[in-house]
Amino acid sequence: MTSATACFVIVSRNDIPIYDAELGSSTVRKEDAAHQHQFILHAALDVVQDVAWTTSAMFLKSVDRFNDLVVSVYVTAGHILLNPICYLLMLLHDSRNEDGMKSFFQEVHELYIKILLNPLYLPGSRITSSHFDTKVRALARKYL
Amino acid sequence: MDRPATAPADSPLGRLLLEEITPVVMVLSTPLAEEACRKNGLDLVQMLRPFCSFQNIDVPVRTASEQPYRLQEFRLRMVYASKVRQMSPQVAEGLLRQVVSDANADLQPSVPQHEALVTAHDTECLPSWLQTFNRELLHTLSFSGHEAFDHPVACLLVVSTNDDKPINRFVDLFNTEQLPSLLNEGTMDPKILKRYLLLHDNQNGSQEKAGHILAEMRSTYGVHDSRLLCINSAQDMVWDEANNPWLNNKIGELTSRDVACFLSSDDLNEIRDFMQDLCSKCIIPHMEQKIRALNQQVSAIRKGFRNQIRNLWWRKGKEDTSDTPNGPMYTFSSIESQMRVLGDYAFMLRDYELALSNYRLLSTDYKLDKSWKHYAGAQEMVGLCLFMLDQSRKDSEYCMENAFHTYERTGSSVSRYATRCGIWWAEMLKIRSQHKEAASVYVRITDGEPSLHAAVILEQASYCYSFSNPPMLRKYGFHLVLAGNRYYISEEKKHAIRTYQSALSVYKGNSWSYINDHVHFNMGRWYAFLDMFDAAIEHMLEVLACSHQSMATQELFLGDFLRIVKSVGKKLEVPKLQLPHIDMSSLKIIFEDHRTYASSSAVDVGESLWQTLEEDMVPTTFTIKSNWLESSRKLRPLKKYNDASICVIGEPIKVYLEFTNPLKISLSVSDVSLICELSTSSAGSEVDENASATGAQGNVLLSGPSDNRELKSDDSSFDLSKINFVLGSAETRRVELDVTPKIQGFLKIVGVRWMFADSVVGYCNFNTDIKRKHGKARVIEDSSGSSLCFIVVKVHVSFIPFLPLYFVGDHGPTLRVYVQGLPKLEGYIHDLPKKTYAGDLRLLMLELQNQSEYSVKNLKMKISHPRFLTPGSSDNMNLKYPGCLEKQIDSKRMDVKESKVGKSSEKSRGLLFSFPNDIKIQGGNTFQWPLWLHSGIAGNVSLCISIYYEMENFSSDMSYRTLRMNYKLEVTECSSNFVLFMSVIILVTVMGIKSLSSYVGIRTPTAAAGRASPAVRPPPPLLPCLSSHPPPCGPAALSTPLLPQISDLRGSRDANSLFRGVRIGFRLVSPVSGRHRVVSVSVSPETIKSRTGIVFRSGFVSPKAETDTFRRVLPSLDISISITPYPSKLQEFLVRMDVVNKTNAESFLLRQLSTVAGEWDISTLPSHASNRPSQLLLAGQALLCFFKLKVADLFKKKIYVRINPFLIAEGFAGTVIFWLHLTACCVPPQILMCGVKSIDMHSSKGSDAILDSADSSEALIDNSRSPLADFHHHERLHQENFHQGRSSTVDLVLISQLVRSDPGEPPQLFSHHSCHCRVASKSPVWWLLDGPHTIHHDFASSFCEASLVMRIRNCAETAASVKIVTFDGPPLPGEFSDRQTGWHDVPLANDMKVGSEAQGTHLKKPSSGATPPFIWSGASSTRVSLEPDSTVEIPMHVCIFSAGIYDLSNYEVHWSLESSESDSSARDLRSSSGTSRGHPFYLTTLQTTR
Repeated sequence: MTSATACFVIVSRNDIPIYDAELGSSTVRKEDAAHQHQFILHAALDVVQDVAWTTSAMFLKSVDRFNDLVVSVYVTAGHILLNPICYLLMLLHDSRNEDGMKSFFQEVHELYIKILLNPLYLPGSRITSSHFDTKVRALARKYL
Repeated sequence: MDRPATAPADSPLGRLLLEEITPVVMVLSTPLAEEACRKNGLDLVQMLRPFCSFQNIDVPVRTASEQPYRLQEFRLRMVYASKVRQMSPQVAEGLLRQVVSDANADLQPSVPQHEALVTAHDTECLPSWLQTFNRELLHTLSFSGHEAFDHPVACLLVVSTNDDKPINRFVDLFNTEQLPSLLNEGTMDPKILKRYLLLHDNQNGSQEKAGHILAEMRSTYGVHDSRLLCINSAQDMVWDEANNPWLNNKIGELTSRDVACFLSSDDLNEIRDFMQDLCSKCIIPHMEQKIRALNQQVSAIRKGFRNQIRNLWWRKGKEDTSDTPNGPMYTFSSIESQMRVLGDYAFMLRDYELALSNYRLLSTDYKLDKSWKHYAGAQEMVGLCLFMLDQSRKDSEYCMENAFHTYERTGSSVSRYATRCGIWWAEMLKIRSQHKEAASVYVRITDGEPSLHAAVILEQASYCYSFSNPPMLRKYGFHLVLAGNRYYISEEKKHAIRTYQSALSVYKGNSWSYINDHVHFNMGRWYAFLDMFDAAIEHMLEVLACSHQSMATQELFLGDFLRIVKSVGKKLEVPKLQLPHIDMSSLKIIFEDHRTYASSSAVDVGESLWQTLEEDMVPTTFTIKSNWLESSRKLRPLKKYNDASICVIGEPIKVYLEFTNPLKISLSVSDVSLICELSTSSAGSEVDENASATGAQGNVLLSGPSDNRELKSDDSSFDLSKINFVLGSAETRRVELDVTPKIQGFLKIVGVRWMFADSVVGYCNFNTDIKRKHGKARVIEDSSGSSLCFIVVKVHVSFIPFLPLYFVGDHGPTLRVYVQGLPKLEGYIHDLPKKTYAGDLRLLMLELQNQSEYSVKNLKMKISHPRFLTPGSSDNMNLKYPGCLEKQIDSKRMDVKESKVGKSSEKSRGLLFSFPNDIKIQGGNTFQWPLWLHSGIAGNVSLCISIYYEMENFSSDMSYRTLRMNYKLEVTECSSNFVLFMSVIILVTVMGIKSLSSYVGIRTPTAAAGRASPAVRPPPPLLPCLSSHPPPCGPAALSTPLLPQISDLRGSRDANSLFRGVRIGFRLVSPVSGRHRVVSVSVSPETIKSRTGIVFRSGFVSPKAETDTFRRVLPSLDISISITPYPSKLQEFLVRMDVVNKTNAESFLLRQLSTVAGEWDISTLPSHASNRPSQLLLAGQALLCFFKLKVADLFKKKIYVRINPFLIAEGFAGTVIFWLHLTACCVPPQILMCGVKSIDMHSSKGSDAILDSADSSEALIDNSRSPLADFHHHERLHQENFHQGRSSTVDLVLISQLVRSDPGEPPQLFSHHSCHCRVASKSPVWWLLDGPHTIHHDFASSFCEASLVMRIRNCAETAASVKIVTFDGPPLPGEFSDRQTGWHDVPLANDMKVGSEAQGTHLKKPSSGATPPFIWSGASSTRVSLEPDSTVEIPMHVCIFSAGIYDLSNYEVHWSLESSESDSSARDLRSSSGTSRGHPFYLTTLQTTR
């Protein structure tokens, strides 16, 4: 059920990725794909910035694509430019499982809020919690 | 960026269309004609081309509509007939590649920054070669079969006058085989308009001949169709560049000045006239004419309603035949082809309306025919027409998209046309400021294109992104990278680097690590391919520290980097090498001025701590000065350097740095050393200049290769240590680097350098802010040098008396002033145990070494924790441990020592110890001095020792130095272990068989160390009054929440059990999990007989792993002492001592318990003394011992109690309980002092009071001498905090011995000090009920009367009045158990009954409500008054009516003190009156047997 490619990134302000994980099931050339995925996700930020102004939806389905890879985004906490702790959950995927993706985003969002509520976590800094990582991977297995 | 709307024709696309979609003139020429042209370096077409575009021809045009319009500018395309065909892909590829590689791929300069891109106008930024490329790309696609605008409109036949039979040549030219396939295959009309041109070379033949031939031509081909062109009429014509039309028009690479050297300006004009005539008088009218003809034809066939219907029907029938892949083949005569020609001609003549209507008609036809290629072409033109007409934008875009899609769909053979269409489409979108859409169009084009085309197109796409509003810079960067990749694939590395360089401006400083790695790594690699190694290395350095990458990638990066470095050929010096990473915050500089350190741990101790320690040891004159230099006249000129620290020649400055390997592969680092600069200090001013010069020099050096610096370190003014090490994966290593100065001067530690992988030298400057420093340094030079220089380099140093020890972080290099070599002591403490137990008493040896040539004197020592460590005396050195501790027989020697000890202990109270004055340590010598270690209490102690010494020759710059030593004593977290310790101690005490009573008590050892007294219910006959004074901590200890709770305790009370043993069962409930477990224990009769309790353990200990190198003090014996008034004698006390062995693996032999300070006599209880086998206490046992203390006899002040050796076994976790009798007396304080003297007199006799002296071979330990006395003093001071304001206390010292497995080892003594023990009684009035304990009486005859005596003593200093109130009836049951939880109280009445049964006498148990079994006789209350310090005896009587054991405690003593003196209340904090219950007194009455 897991899609072959799924690269998940949480981006905070100033385009800083604070968490990234390769969640896809394809094991081949993960290393090579990593920079490509980052390129695509990073470039998609341009589109997201455009789109986020035009809609109030949080889940932006397939905002950008590159070849057969699609970027879906979950914009949270108001809009990206307005909120000091705004962030984007971005997923690069090749599957079309929209419902699963939406659930995945929502649950990861909850996880991230928990991280944010941690008084020792500085908003905008990198998430290094291994607990978070395992949870996200479990969610990816479940939904993607 | 909405730009002002321009006319479509002025827009870039409009220009493109006007210039590219123009009539084609096919040229056919003879070789001789070509030869004539070639003299000028041009071929015929090239010669004519500059005159193909006409700016102001002003030709009237009349097409289908009758309304003429005028064309202002026009253009023709002259093409050789041989080139009127589609280029082969290879040729096209080569052509385009040429364009790309011609484009100047400047690498470094003029990389458009994206900020600039945003603001600048798009066309200004776009490289012009991109447009050229686009045009060339379009050219490669011309002359296709499905379009007509590339079909030649006319044919120009050129024959030279030198040709043989020129008239015939014209016919031959056209009829040979070289006509293009378009004409031959029927795609276009072979009846093409022909023009005949006679070319005459003026240098080769006369004008007459030419005129003759022309006349002939005119007669043959017609006047209008024949022309003569004379060229080469000039000799060595020199054209200036501006006027040369060929050079202006950039024809290939024809740049030499030979071009057109034979063409005069007349020739030029002639050519121009010819071309203009050709265009305006021939081609345009021809096209007009053709348009009109075709239009009529099309109107007749296709226009009108009837034709439409017919067309529809007719088309349907044609569907079946359309089986070719590109749809049906249309010949020139077909109506579709004619419509296409009509449309294209109209388009070329800019009658867009006409063109549009035809294209629209055409596209429906093609669509019906499913001739997709043609359809797409028509749609494409519809879109372009709409654009040129500036009509509906949407429609035009739709048409373009439709065309694009159709091309794409049709197949790979026409995908190139999709590209052309896309380019037009994108251009169209760009003109309409839809850059984003344009970019996506470009991206779509790239799919079918070869990589080079794709690269160029992607680059255009990226520019589109950057021009869009708002600029999409991330997309810009991404597409640049994509383009770069394609460039690289197609071997255009310069372009690849250029695009990546541009992309880098987007990615610079972002934290998308993989992106950055990819960009930098590829740039590094590509630069290396181009042999630009500097740039390559610069980029490679960026990716070296890629900790997030996989190991394979890291290896790849590193391998490539090293390969590049190797190809550079020389040693590379990199200022900011990331491998290994240096943690600047770990920078720590340690140097020694007058403060020297024995170990690095001593450095870690805060300076303030050392300062307070050395406060009264170090001469004050030095501490007041802000710096050493000020006190030294010799170095006075240098006082401006008072920010600098001081170091000594020959003594290393240590710098600690942490190197971290960020990679997963191990790195070898070699030759790690400091970078230092040392300038000599011959004169102050010179020094100043030097210093600033070196400062400036350092900056220069850092940027460039620093051979200079190497020289500096070689000039042997200082020594540098070099270290090699290998860092494993992700390893961090702390490295110590030394610099040892050898001459006087100023030393500046600039940074650190290291060699990585034997080829790269890395530098790291400690001062991060070079620029600022440099600026300031220059300012200083300008202001002719001032001391500010050093503020620059050491900003943060404050002006405290002692400078900070080390500088952390980027505070900059330190600058130091050196003084001459000085003696330096090094010290260690030998045999400091790694692990000890609390109470350990050891003799250690302090060893001081003087390595220098000079001798030192006047040694002093100060120890931070005298409780743990005290200096011994010189005598201790010769004695053997522990023999020196034992009581000496030789009293004379002791006297001598005593005085010394007294003195030293006096001093040690001031914590300062002076070594004897005559001690000097000569150079190279070693000196030893004993130290006593007493690890008083388990805990975490950092022992600091500071040794002060002075130089023998005071003339030196420093007169003294201090040696600082630090040792850490640490204890493991045993308290937590102890809580886990589910150990339960059941103490069973069964009293004599006759009393037949059993008491069961449970005690849980608690984490509260030390003070927990066992909640033991004592046997009543022996200790009646103990129970009335509950131990202070018992209940609290039991309620400790983490301890297991005990419930359902039951013991068999069967009389027979006494012979079988007692069985006790209870339930343990874990407070955490709630689980419970039933435990049962048997107690053997022997145990019961010996009156010892049973301690067993049901838990376990998890000892903490002993890992680190800290010296540890572990808890050993836990002693708690409680003193209660002795029941049977006044002013005597019972001392109960609990000893808990808290160690996990050690056994202790208890040797001796002694009192200190002399006013107490301690002795064992006689009853216990007889009953003391040398027991091995198994786990879970307790021993009851009783000691008593009496009033100290003046002549026998000092009493030692020797505890007969018994073992506390290994793993033991129980309690040993001693019952001690203490005899209390309130000795006035002044006696105490003289008592000390008398102790010594009689101490040899003190052993008299020791019990069992015969048993033991062990000598007594003298606790009145050093070191025990010293330690005791400190223990006392320490423990005083908890017992403030208490008088009349007693200090007890327990001496124990560790049981060693190897008997050959010297015994290890332990001393435990319990100070300030006091009587746990609050009442100043003590009383004792005394009388017979057992009465035999025949109750059958009468009741029994017992006479008792109550002795009351008033201890207070005032008179007291005491009232005794007696009650009848037994004491209320359950009150005892209330006081001491954990006890299972067995009421006496039951026992009595059991006991009676055993005797076979049946007795009725008196009910509690009935008549009491005994009554007090006499008055119910008695009142007496007592003088201070007096005793009164009151007789009391009790009548007993039946046999049994009775507790005669049902009385109360009310007392009140007469507070006559005002100060007494203030001094005596006790209450002035109170009520006490009676102490239990058990009276056993037995029926006499007859």
